[in-house]
Amino acid sequence: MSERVGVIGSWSSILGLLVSVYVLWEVRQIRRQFLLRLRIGDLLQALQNQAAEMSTSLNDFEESRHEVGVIFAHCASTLQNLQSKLSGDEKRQIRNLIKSLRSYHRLGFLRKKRNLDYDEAWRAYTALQGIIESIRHLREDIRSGG
Amino acid sequence: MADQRGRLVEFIAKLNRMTQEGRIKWQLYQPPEYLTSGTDDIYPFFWGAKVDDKKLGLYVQRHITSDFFRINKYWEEKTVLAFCQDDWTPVWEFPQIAGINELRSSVERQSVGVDSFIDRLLSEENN
Repeated sequence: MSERVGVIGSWSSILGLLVSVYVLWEVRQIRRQFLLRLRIGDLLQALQNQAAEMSTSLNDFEESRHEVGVIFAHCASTLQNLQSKLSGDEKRQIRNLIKSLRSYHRLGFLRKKRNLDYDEAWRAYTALQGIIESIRHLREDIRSGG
Repeated sequence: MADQRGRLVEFIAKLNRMTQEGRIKWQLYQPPEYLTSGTDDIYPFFWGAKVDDKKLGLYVQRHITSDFFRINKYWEEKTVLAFCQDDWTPVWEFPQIAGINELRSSVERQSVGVDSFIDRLLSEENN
């Protein structure tokens, strides 16, 4: 009898642990959703401003090369903030762009700093516009209760 | 992002690039009657450009809108890009998509000749 109680107790503990892990995971998701709802408008506006600055600087790329680098750094930082609140396809898109933007200004042990050229800068601008479009849709989904 | 919208985003970014590089020349026109007649909306700017065998129109549309309770009315403005007929009547409007405002900014710079004007003035000053 006491052996059976012991077994039930052990299984209950394991089940309790699993439930706790699940609840923790759910709380984390709720927190992330809450933060996303709270911040998506501001972060989207920041990205739109950075895209506008990027477009203006690309107009005179050779003179504004340093400025474009600075805008890329600001943009990577905004995207990093947004990425932590997202999941799924948008998160993957953002991760790829952050990696690309940072490769122009961060020196690592294994990676060399890439030279920022005109075509690459336009590619980054286009990728950023794609992300802005996705985030705009996500904001509309959130507004309509999605 | 749906593929179709992704293509449109790329297309608009490319138009922006071609405009900045001077490969597309935009000109300011009077907005076509199709837009201005039978409406209270205002079209302060209408630019047109030929790209290959197509005519593209980019215009600013101002319209009155109201808040949720319909108490306060205010003006709202949007930029529209459209494929046009020979007389610049818009036939197909692009959806409101990321990058249109940057395209407008590039078109404004080009049509006013901001860069050439600044360059000319600076070179005069240097002489």
